[in-house]
Amino acid sequence: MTNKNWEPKIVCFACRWCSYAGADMAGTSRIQYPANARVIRVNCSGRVDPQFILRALKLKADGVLIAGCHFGDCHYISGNYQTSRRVALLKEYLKEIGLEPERLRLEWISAAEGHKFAETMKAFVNEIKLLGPNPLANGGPEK
Amino acid sequence: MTKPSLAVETLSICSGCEIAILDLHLALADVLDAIDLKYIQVLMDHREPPKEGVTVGFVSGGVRNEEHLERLKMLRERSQILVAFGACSAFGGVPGLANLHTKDEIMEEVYINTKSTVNPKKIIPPKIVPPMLEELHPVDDFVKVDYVLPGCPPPPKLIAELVTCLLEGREFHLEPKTVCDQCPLIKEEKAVTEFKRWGTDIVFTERCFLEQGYQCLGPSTQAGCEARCPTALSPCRGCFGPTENVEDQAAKMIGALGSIVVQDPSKAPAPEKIVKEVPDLVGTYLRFTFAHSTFKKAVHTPTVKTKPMKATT
Ligand code: SF4
Ligand code: SF4
Ligand code: SF4
Ligand code: FES
Repeated sequence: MTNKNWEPKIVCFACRWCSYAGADMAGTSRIQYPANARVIRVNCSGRVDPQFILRALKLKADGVLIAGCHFGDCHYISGNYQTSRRVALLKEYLKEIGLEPERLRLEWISAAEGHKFAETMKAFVNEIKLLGPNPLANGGPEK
Repeated sequence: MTKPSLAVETLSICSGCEIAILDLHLALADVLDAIDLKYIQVLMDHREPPKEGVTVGFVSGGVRNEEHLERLKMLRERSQILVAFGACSAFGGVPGLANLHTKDEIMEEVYINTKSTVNPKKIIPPKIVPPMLEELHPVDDFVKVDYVLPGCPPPPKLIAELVTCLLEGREFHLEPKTVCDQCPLIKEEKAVTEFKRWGTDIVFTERCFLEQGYQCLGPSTQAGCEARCPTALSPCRGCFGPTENVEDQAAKMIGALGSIVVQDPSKAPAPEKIVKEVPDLVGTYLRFTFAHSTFKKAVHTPTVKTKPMKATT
């Protein structure tokens, strides 16, 4: 049974050169967005080891958002391309073991796109609400 | 001085591991000189390891039913040193892939649905056999393991090395390296433009298979076999499991796959295309270690789904 007061827990890995700054931008421009995400700063979206993502979901995160620089803007040139391949494969992995691939999302958000950061977060939180809690959480989130 | 003693217990296995012990050939004679072999079902007619205990216990195979669990616990109690012997014991092995399905699904498939089965009354196995557990487990789900000897089966050379270490009271450990580090094939440039299934195109036998776009699990697999498959011109399938500190072998392989593709975005295959080129991802990247991966089994959501919540903005 889904608890009425349940709020999705989202882990967001944000690249420091773009999306993390984008999140800051959203904050300093006082754009409202849901407070469901724990944002973790990484040096590049390519630094997000697939293991981090699996571990987050195993530990009952309801969704994982990876946010990195737009193609062409990665400070390490190809980090975000690598991430795009890894995320596609990870989604397939999740599907094969019976977890909804939609729980993993990849977005490109630049440092100037505070607005996009907020919109992405809203849309993702809504999508996860439709999916319900992580099935590993046994039907209800931990307090 | 009494000789150290050895007991080999056999759980959910194919017996390849026991055969690997016999494969020591001449070295087996030396081992038998130095060690008192007390119990091994493929060779001797005993029902259980000796009550007075043994110095070393080898356990091969994973834990699939209640009898296995009982036998595993008995061996643990009766051994001073316990070795998880082979991929099945250490990681669940190939039978661990059954964890993609529930026990009931497996029973139904095997006893009712298979084409070769005639079972009009739909009788699911008699109660007299030991009941199956919900999943297949590697042995370390239940007992403390002192050493892991991976491989499907472990190479005789490593078995001999482990036995020697134990006899001389030395620690046994595998070097923190991957199969690639021991692989003799030529590594040139990581610029894959397409992933292919083995046997569907030309293979250059001197060059790294992965760089040619074939799925070779070398980068995600613990070294120790001296890269015996690539040396024999076959890609590594990952039977040594992940390296130390890596939890999920597939995660490691997916990480590697992300970075071996050609850098030039105009030449790189689209992510969706790569996904199609890796059919059966779990069966390929976790062939031997699904039961020891991050999730260990599929997430079986009950068929009656609770109504989704209404989205709020
Ligand atoms: S590890 Fe391989 S050889 Fe050993 S029992 Fe399992 S399947 Fe057989
Ligand atoms: S990927 Fe395979 S073929 Fe290439 S170096 Fe590693 S083990 Fe050898
Ligand atoms: S090359 Fe890979 S599959 Fe072959 S024995 Fe070594 S670890 Fe196992
Ligand atoms: S530096 Fe931002 S994604 Fe690589």
